[in-house]
Amino acid sequence: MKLKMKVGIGGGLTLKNPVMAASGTFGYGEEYARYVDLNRLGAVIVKGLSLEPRKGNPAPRIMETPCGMLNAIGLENVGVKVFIRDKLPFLRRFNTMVVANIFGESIAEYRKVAEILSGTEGVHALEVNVSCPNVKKGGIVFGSSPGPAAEVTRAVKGSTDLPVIVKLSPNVTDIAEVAQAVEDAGADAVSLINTLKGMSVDVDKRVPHLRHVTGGLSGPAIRPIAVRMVWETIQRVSIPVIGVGGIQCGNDALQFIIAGASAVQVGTAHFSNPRATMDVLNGLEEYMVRHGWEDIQDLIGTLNVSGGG
Amino acid sequence: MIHHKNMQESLSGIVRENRKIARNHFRMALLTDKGFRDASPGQFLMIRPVRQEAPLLGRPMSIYRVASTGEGTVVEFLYQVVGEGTEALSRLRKGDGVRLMGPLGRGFDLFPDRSKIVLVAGGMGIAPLTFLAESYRKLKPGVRQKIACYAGAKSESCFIGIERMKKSAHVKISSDDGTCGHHGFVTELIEEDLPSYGVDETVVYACGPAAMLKMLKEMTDGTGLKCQASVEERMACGIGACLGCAIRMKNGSFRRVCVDGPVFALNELEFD
Repeated sequence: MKLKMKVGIGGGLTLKNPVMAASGTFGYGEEYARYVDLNRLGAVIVKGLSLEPRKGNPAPRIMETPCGMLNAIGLENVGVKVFIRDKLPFLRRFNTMVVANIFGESIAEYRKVAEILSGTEGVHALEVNVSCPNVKKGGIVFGSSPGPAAEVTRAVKGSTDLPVIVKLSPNVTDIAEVAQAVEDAGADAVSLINTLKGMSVDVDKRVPHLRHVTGGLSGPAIRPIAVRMVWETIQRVSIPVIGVGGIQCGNDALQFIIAGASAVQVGTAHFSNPRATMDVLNGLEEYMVRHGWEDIQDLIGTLNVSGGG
Repeated sequence: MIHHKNMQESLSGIVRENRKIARNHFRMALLTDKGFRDASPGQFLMIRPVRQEAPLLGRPMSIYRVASTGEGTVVEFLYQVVGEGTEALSRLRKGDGVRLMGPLGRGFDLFPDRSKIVLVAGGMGIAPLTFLAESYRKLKPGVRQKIACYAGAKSESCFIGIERMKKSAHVKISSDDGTCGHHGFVTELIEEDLPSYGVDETVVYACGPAAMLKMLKEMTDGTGLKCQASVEERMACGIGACLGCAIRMKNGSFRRVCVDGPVFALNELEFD
């Protein structure tokens, strides 16, 4: 049985398979190229890019927690111009979609970064990180409510012809409401979830484990929250939903796909298994063969809740 | 040129030995494939038990020794049980499988033309410095550089690796509690000898707690002495992708300990 793995993720963009490498966990692709055949990936989403390079937060930036980890990297990145000049050429050697994750400290910054990337060959889509503070509005996170999230979406959509995926923050009361607002503002797809705000205390030294005090929680511990939020969002939007959160294997990815996600991102799993994306992809294919599904698109959203246990 | 053959490299190892060697300290030997054959001193590996319930992230360990045998490459490291990850390692038995990545990072540079090699080891730092001393001894048969090792530990019960280091270097020891050797810090030991180490003939290598490295930096700043230090920081990916281990250098830039280090020039480092 020849499997059909192609999926559409909005804005006219089709991936060869639903497996994407999540932003912030895969560098700019080069680090993992020796472990993974990048040609087999549905897409690589690069580390979030800002207008100017950013150094990030002082150490310690990470802390392991049960079935997960906290990170307060601080959005360190080489900046959009250095990315285009020094990092993108490597990625272009491969037959995979390149998604540029972008962020800004103001609406104007989002616009500028989107504009610069739009004229760039080799970038197939933008993923907009709205989980960062609006420095002009006292540091309130853009994605913490529907209004600002929609404003960022509109600004980015207005600055590019590339498909725009908006990556949602889970640190909200109603993520589906935010998803709806960004859909109305023109987003071609949404990806969720970004990290959950968390904290860990060193009881011997009586200081936070992270120098930044709080950080973002990721890994298997957050998967149930992510699946739930994908499920809630699917009920309220028509655009494709990309599922992210603790995916380590094919079965994890299937939870999201069956709940309605058109594609998935693999992130934290890379740190304990550099070949995680391949394990996820192989797992999906094995499941399809075992259960007789020829086309992955037929599986999307087949969750049966009426007879639920 | 993309090296597809690297994708065949096994990311695994089998425990050959896991021996308690001091109060809370162990030596582990792993059988793995030829990927580790060319490991150089100062490089490290990332290790994680295969068992599901083991902590999520691998732990970085400085390489202590690499040996090629008929069965494959055996790589050794020393570790101390300080938390969940090392606790899980201590429970591994011969034959258990582990996830393994390496050799990783930028190791020590060797300077075959220097006549005096000075090693400053704090606690577990003795492991990569022993690998370094042995590498120097293999370098030029017939030429014997003076290798002096200053090794400090909290207490006699914490001393590890001294006997093996003595085979390659002249060793002076200190203990914080005075139960062994000089009573005090290892930096006090080296301070006495420092004037005898000429700038052009000496290279200093250090590996140990940040407090020790900071003191050594203060002692050597401005002297012109060539000093390299191996540092550590919490890691997730170990290969430079996640930026979790990045530390601030004296010039304000951030460097990743896992790929730009763990060895840096001592005078480039910044300590709190």
